[in-house]
Amino acid sequence: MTSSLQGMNISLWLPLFMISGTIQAADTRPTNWQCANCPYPQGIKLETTAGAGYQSDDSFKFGDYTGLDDDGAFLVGDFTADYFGENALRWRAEGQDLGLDSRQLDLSGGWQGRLDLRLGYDELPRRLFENSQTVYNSPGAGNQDLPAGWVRAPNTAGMTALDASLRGADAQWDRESWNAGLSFIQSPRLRYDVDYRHLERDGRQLWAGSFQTLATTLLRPVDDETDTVEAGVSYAAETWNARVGYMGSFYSNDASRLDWENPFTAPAPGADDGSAALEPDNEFQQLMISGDYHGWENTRISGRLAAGKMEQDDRALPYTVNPGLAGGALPRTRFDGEVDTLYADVRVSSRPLPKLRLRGEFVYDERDNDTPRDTWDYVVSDSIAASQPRDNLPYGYERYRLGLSGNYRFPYGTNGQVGYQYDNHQRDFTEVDETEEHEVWGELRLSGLEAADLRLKYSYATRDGDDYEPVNATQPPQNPLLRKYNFADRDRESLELSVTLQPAERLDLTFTGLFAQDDYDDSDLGLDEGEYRNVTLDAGLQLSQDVVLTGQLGYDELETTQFGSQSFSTADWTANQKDESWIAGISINLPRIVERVRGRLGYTYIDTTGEIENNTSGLRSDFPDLDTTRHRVELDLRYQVNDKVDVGVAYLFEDYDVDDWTLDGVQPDTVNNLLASGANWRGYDVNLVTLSFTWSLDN
Amino acid sequence: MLASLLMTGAGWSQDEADEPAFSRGGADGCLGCHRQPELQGIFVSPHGERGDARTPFAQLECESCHGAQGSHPMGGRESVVTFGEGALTPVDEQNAACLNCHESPVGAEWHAGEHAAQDLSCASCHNSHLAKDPVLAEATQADVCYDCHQRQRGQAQKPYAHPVRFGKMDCSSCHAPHGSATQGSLKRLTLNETCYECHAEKRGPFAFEHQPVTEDCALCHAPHGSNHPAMLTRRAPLLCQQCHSQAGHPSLSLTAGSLPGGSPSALVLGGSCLNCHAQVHGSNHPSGITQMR
Repeated sequence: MTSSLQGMNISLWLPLFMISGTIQAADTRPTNWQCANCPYPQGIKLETTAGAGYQSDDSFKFGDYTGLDDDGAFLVGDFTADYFGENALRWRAEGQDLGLDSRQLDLSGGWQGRLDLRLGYDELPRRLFENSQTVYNSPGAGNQDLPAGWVRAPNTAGMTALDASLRGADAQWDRESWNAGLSFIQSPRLRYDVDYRHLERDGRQLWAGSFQTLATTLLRPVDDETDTVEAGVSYAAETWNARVGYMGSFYSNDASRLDWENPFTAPAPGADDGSAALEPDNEFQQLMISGDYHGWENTRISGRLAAGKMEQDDRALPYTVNPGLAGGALPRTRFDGEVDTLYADVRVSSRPLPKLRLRGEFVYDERDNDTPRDTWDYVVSDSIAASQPRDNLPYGYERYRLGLSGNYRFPYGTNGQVGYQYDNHQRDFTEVDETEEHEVWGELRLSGLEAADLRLKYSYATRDGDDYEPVNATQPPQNPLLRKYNFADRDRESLELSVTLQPAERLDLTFTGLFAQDDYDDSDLGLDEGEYRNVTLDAGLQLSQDVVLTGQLGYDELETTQFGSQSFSTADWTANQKDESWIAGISINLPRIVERVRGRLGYTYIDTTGEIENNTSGLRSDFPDLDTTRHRVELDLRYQVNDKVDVGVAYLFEDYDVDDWTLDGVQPDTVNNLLASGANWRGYDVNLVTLSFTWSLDN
Repeated sequence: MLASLLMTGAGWSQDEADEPAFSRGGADGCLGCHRQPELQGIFVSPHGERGDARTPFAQLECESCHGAQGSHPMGGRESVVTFGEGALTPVDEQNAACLNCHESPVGAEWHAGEHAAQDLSCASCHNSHLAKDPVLAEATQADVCYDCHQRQRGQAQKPYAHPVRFGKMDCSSCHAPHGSATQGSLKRLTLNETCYECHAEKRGPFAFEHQPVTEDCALCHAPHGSNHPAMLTRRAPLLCQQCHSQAGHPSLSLTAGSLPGGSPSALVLGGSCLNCHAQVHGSNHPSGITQMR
């Protein structure tokens, strides 16, 4: 028997290691294997990049997510430091973009295979509008007062103190996140993991408050924290795996209320002040067990079961801050919001024949909303007592999905798949109680052709629901001909194609296409039709042994048609909306331009267009195009001074143009009943140059 | 017991001509020919840590993954296990080599996942010979995924998108590439739970909820990128009018005449519907039934 085992190839060896456990395998390493030529690292290995850069222009849009929103100089700083010690002790510290507001620091390591530790810090700058304006004294505060001398008027044209009162107040916030984690590997079978993450946001963003039909754009505060804890125990047996896990997410908002003075003449007695509830503190806790069994020869089964609870219990604000409209008594002083979630899935895969693979899955997902349902004697925008009280609707759902598919490998690299999926979705307090969707699909892959691979997939789905009946609790009622698209009857078709070619020895081409169509034929009002088209072409041309020129081209289009009724009867207007984008890119890596000099050149282009066409009673009206265009050129050159030191120069040019009629030309007083911020998306031309040195240390 | 049988000293020589045998010298022999610098990163990577009993270099070194070398050094016809695009080794055998050690937790989800159904190998995405596997680093992961997901690469370049192109998020921030029963192979159990990981303020439950928000964020948002601010699928007010047309507040026909130069309208300009209904993700105000407070 020993001799028959000696000559097994690796595919047969591997399961035996799995059965015996990997620790034992280590003990069986031949004693004469020394690996004297293996360059096992020891001690410290460090790579540090430091330098400076210069940015030509200010731009919030360019600085969004990057922190490069100001012109002038900035510092370049990145590093990776590794420590390799005895007994599998390893540490890695990494820092990126240390000179920017998008900096990131990570430390990970420990005794590999026994204890892993993780620490991280990350900053994310959101730069939204640098040109927003406000008349309020404390933009971004929870209580916003009008300036002294403010003159109220029934419309913005009459606000005589507006120009003198406006001040710039940019819309931006920063997010910081800290994370820490620990994995303890007690044995090859038993493992414990704990992770903690803290997110913190601070800043302000645009928001709007209104009194009846008079609206004001404000800068609301952003000041919140989210703490997330995850812990789990995993066990891996010979034929099964199991994990028990806990996840808790705790959201805390230090700005959960916003009060502001009405800059308009009160549209109703006492409607001089408004008050809104911002996002409440909330928490979500979930327990999950998951596992799989793989002890059968050709069949495997896995599943997950999770139960969770979402809660929020913020104190209720009064119905209104209008002293003339005290409103009735609140039905409760705290909301006691509570949602129970239940999730389960089971997935089976089997290979009854060597070339046949079958898959099946069942997924169940429930949102059981136990939030109390009360009757609220509400006030409309701190102005008018509602004519009749209304109930809150604690939305919940129950949905499940069943999927079956089969895959057969035919000769000559041909692979065929077919599948069927059934979706059932039941909702509370909606116009349709239950929808069912059936989908069938087929896929063909050809990989046996000379210098070409092909993949083709077609799917068809049809969704039908119960009778569409208005929700009585929604008052005034919705137009009975309207069909909301998330539960309206729908037919959906899609065709997906992918072709990879090698037309010449040094040229690779990949073409992909997706064509999809949604039809809502039974919807007299609302979304009627949607068509989606996407094509891409990738090319790679090998210019020499180590130089490859790559290029990408892509086109994306979504076109929809919808019907509306301004007469609250049958359709009397139609709107077509078409969004297009063209994307192109080309890049080349040059590992050796001349002796000791390497480089990279890249160019990316994107152009998006949005067209909206409205037809009302035979009269057509086209909105101006919504356009954005971005060109980005990147050039990196590095000179190797010696084995330890590189010096690099990088240049980046980005040109961004945007036309958006929702904001362009909308000054604070452009609209009679909207005191706007005057902000719009600004284009930019930014040139950025960096000079940096990289030192490598390897002892 | 099987392992002990396998590891008897005599077992390392090839005594049956039909089956390849393991080498006499381990990696030393392999490195005699395979000196390419791009292969040496494995010693810096976790796979190269010989102090961790689970790794290849604590076990059979190169042959842990590539199999018994047999007569490979002499140009014999036996093939070692090779990985990645163009490899002669069948995908199932490649993946078995990886899953031998990475069975937990990868195998439990992989078997029925979409990537497995497409016959991808682990090496389609992973490069275990590099000191830093690009698919495991936030700044470089997306480029690996885009090799096959070209559509998403284009969408990520759109003017309103998650910060993937800046390296501040990666695909696995939301997706579980080894497989998941969630449609789109998401890392959490539902789409909304995935979004709430960073957008917990939208979770509620609110006193007055907006029904589609509780069901599926993607009913209004395009998470891979959009032409519209806030990654909306459509531009307001048309997006809102696809579901709302109420008595007393019907779905008005809004034309280009509503823009500056005509009769500027708050129904179209600025925040459009959100100029009044600002709490579109849900309101926690006793008078928030129309999401104005």
